[in-house]
Amino acid sequence: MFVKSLLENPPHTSYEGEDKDEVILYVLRQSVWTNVGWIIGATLLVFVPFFVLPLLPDFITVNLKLTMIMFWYLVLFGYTFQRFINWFFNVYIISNKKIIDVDFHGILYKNISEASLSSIEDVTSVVKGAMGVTFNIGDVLIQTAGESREFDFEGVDNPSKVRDIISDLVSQHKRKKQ
Amino acid sequence: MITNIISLTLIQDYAYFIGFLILILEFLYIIFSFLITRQVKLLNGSFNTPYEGKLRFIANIHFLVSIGVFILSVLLF
Repeated sequence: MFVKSLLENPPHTSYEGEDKDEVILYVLRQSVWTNVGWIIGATLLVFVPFFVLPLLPDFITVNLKLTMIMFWYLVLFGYTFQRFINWFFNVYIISNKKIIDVDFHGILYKNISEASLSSIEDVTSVVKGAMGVTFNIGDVLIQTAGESREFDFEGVDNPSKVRDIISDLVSQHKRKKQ
Repeated sequence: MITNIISLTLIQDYAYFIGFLILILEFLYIIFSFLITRQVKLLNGSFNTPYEGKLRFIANIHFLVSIGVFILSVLLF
């Protein structure tokens, strides 16, 4: 599903640098609820021209008003689309070999980090704040061995379940290796 | 009468200035929307999903519409 935040065995999904024998088991995104703020904001902004246009001075011609309206809705659409792809592509991937954190902010920053399942030492889930407790949204912190790197899956739905999934995969992977 | 002419010219100048400002913003917005198309392409390369085509289509339409709005604004201006 397009707006699901936890996808199990997602079809036709791959990532840059995926191994041939690698299978994506889960794709996680931030909870849909984390988008509520900007969706409400964008919805309210739709109505701004109805209130602002009557207040404009007389020297603003009809053509100029038309131009302003077109540009306003274009920018609003661009903002909405930008926020959506920001959410859509900020993913946490759990495969049978690795965990991958794809981060990108705005239009000029992209960061992809990964860690093998065998290097994961500790998985912790945290639920905090009114929204977190109400909608069961939280962070999953993953500590890897050897270095001080820590993966942070922020604002995911049902963080306890995610922690459990990762822990099970890690122990499964470590058992296989022994 | 001279005062009226001066104030009329000033008002026309204001309208002209605002129109010109909007045109500049619209031109900058075209660059932004182009960057979004590149970004969507790049991100689809990094993380491929079944929705790649739809997202690229929306990004391209957005880019074309931003050019269309700019051209229309020049014509209206």
